[in-house]
Amino acid sequence: MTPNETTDDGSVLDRLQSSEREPYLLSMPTAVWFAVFLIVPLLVVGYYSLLGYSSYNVIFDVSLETWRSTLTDPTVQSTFIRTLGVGVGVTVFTLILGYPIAYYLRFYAGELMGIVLLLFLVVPFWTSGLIRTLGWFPILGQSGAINYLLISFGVIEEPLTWILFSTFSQVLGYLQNYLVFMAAPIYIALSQIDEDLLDASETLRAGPLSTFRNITWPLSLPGVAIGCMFTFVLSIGNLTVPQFLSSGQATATTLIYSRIGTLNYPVASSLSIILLVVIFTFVFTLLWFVDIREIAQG
Amino acid sequence: MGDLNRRNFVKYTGTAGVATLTAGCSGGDGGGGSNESGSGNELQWIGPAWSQREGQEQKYEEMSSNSLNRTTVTIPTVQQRLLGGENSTTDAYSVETSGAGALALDNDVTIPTPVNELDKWDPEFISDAFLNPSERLSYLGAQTETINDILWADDEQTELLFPPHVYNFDAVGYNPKFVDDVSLWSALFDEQYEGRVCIGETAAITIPEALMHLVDNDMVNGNIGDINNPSQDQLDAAIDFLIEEKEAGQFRTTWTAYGESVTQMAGEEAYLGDLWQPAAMDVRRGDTPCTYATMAGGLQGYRYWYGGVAPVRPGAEERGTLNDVWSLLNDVHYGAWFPGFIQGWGYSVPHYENTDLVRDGSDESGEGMGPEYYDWAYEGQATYEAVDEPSLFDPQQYDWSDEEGEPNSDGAERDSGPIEERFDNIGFFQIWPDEADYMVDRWQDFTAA
Repeated sequence: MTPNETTDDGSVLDRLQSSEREPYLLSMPTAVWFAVFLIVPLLVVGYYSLLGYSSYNVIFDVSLETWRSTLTDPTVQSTFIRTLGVGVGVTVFTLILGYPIAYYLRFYAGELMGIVLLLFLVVPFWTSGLIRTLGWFPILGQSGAINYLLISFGVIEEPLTWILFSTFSQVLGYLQNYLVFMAAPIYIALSQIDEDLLDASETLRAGPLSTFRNITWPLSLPGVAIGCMFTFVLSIGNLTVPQFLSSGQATATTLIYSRIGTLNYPVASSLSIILLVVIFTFVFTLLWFVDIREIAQG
Repeated sequence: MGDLNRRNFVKYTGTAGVATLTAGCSGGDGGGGSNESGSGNELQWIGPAWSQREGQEQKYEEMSSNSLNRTTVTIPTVQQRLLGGENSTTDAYSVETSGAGALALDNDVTIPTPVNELDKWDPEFISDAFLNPSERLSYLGAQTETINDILWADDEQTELLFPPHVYNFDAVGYNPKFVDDVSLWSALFDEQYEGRVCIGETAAITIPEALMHLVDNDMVNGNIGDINNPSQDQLDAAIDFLIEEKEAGQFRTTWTAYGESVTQMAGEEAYLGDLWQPAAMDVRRGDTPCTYATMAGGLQGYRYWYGGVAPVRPGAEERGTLNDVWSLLNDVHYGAWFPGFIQGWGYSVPHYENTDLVRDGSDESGEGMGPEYYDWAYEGQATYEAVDEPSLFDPQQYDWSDEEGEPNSDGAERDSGPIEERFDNIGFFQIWPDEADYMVDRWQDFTAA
């Protein structure tokens, strides 16, 4: 073995080792980011959920008492069931409305127009969520636009009261906020469908419904899954809509918020972890059935 | 067709905007003045919006040449921040009596204020409701002890634990277009207003309001002495009752932020509610009539509370701003100018009996209220000018006379009557009760219902 060969071998070995290390090095910033901003805070939240509380003071005695009282509290249970119901309901409703919008933008509006119209759905987000929510008051209120028009045209005699501070207004608030989060990923998934597949289906004399059932819908599922994930996670974590548009019924987030208001961090922490588990379960179940990597592959 | 028209629609929109701004108001930006008399440190003052307005900041900076930075947040946030470690970088806080419990009684972040540091705290002119609540408010029984507990650091009254700067007598606010005279908390639970009541979602406020109704109607055992510090049984009864009412549709919705109550009343979504008096004023400013009730007294009297300004431990000590905080309290809030300023929102001051200063006088802080404004605010006199619609009367817009004059028979009288009558008809003094943990636990049953 010559010195040169030794050097070459060493160099190859180095390159091999270097190329093996590369993925780890490249993923390091992400790993550090997750550790600092996700894992560590979660550990802190987890630790606080094991502490006690008395009149504006956290008691630093570790026990499972906070968890026991939180998990066995019927109000917490019913609130989480309702929150889950609202999340699923809003997701389904948003999907029913969002899919046709995405479908129209993809197949009927042209590429440029599709993007422009999709951008219109984003415009309301240029203002704050609070303003978007309160913006419903002059529309749905006693003296709001809808009641004004209905009374002006003689459709009703007295203003409708059920359209504000109700489940109806709450659902509207969610829809306004999350329709774009549903429509956009579906639009992207639909945009990636190979036109040749649709032509082939037509050539093989499949009708529009059959084409939709066998080609369009299955290929758009990654977009649907991502849209559902966004909508579900954002809606059950929303504080503004239930706070301002409901009739005053608490959700999981308002429950957490009210506990923070009295500095009861242990209970707020345990509730937050339960909410996290609910969200994780939903997302995991969704990903179990749908492979969303397809949407990234283009 | 109801009273819906274009004007209502437009005003609704405008008021919603005002309410949003009010609910989300942020802190002041401090000033840039240099300190000539104090520590040299910009005074850091944290509190809710109603307790620390821009006018107070400007007046302090004008009088002291020191700068002041207001941080405007909710009461729970004041507590969170001071108990979470910001007590070393904050000089003064202001909350009200139920919020003060956690800061002055349960935790040691409040520096008592010696009365001899406050040359304007003259016992001769301070209301007996503060100096001797056991006598002046004797009808409240054991409740008066809870006033002494939060107010004084010692029995000799040499140090104020939580020095007062404003107070009020909260009542039911109602829209006279839809609601006849109201003088009882029971009106909130009256079936004829089903679906038209807005009710607060703050446990320490809403529960005693329900308790006053329940005890007065023999639906719960109790007496006026213990009504502000209820037992677990009383809490259960009140919360169960409120849940029933909520599920039966008695409430249009609940409110947590001040602006929500304004929006609901201004938009005529709700016809009556347990409003704060500044909220009633803001409803009027949206052009919706709103009357603040004169309560019957006894077991259904006013919900009385006071707000105060206290130095923070150790912030004010370590930063050397203790004298600045006392100056803020003494020179600005116990002076001639502040009573007229804060009456614009319906609040009163502890030194109102000093008529030479507050009514007719002036000091380095500015002019007193003048005879018409003072007599209207504290004596129950009508304005000198006729007022077409008293339920739209706005004291901030009215041109108060500096000269003595005659009350007009068609003038506007202040809601809730003369101050002494208000002091005679308190039902409840607002505190953070002993059973607070239990109360908060059970309260989530109401919010979830």
